[in-house]
Amino acid sequence: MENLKKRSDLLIEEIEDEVVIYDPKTHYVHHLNPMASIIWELFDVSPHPGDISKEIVSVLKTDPSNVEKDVQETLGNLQKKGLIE
Amino acid sequence: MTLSTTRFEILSLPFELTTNDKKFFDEFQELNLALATPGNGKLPQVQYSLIKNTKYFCIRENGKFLHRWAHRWPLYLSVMMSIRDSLYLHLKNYLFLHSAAMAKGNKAVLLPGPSESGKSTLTLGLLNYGYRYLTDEVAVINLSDLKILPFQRPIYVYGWLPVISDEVQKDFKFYRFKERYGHTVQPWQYAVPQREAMLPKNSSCEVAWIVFPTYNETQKDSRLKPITRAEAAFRLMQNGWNTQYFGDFGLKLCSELVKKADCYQLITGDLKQACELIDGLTGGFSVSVESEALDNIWKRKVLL
Repeated sequence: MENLKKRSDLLIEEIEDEVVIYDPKTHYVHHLNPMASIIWELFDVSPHPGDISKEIVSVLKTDPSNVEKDVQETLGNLQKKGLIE
Repeated sequence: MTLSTTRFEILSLPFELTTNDKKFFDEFQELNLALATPGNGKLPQVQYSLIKNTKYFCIRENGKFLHRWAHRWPLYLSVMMSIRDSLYLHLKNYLFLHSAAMAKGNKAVLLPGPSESGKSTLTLGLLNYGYRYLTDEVAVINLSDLKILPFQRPIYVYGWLPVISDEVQKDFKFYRFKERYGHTVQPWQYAVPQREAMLPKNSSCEVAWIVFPTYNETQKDSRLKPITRAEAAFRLMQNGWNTQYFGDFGLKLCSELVKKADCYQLITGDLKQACELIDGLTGGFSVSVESEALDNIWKRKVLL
């Protein structure tokens, strides 16, 4: 995951606390829920899932094991959809 | 073979239709009354021909073959679908959404959704609740101010039962058709706005509510659920006829549109309740409309 980056050609709109992404290559639109949107934002700071999880746990004061699982899963999905590569 | 030709404009795009079928020609002129304006001397950018031979009706666009039909009932819909596609290919100053839209006062409620989500059913239902008809299929959003313009296609209704209450019906004309289809006779009708229901082509309304309908056959009641504006923007993009032509601007347009509106999902299991939910949302008095027309819409499942 550390070597992954957000694709630079994606078109991104932040609406309230959620993110909508338009992929000009596939013409697909993706809607990230609030948690996925936070992970998407934090991915800019560090692409490492551990760092993202730590940041979320420190801010939201939630169970670290669940957060790590969510972060891994979300980053996996973003990669599968070709939004990070 | 006698050919008839008509020139007309929709959203200022000039069209021409030529046909050897006088019956279709007359129907086309009458059904387009609220949607099109007569040609204004401009050369047509898109020319359609509908030629009937011994077996088929053959539709061409600018000389290129489009469709061949053995029956009469798909002819108007077929030409209208091609007209819609031509509009969004040629006109770049409008966002076209797959959506019905109704107006109350100067504010509009958008009902975007794919086929069979219940757009036409709700359109007819809401007519009974005093809403003005903007469109049942193609919502035209002006890019300069994000207001919606009327696109008053005739409303297709399967069957001949009355679907609009007597009070509203006076401002609509119903064109009824039937055709033998195998061993059965298929009846259908088009509701065409007239007089008060015909809106000026340059009138526009602010989009104040966006309601995404879904039809649920197994559900007895109807439910309205708020959704986030991000989800609404995402769904609008999915229901855009031409959003892909705008690239990033398409997403920006949709997000600007949702920022000005309250956004909901509507699960329709009962038409009357669905109309009342929308009416309540848009500041109506939630007056219960007891109407045979509503029952007829629902019984006939005019969902397409």
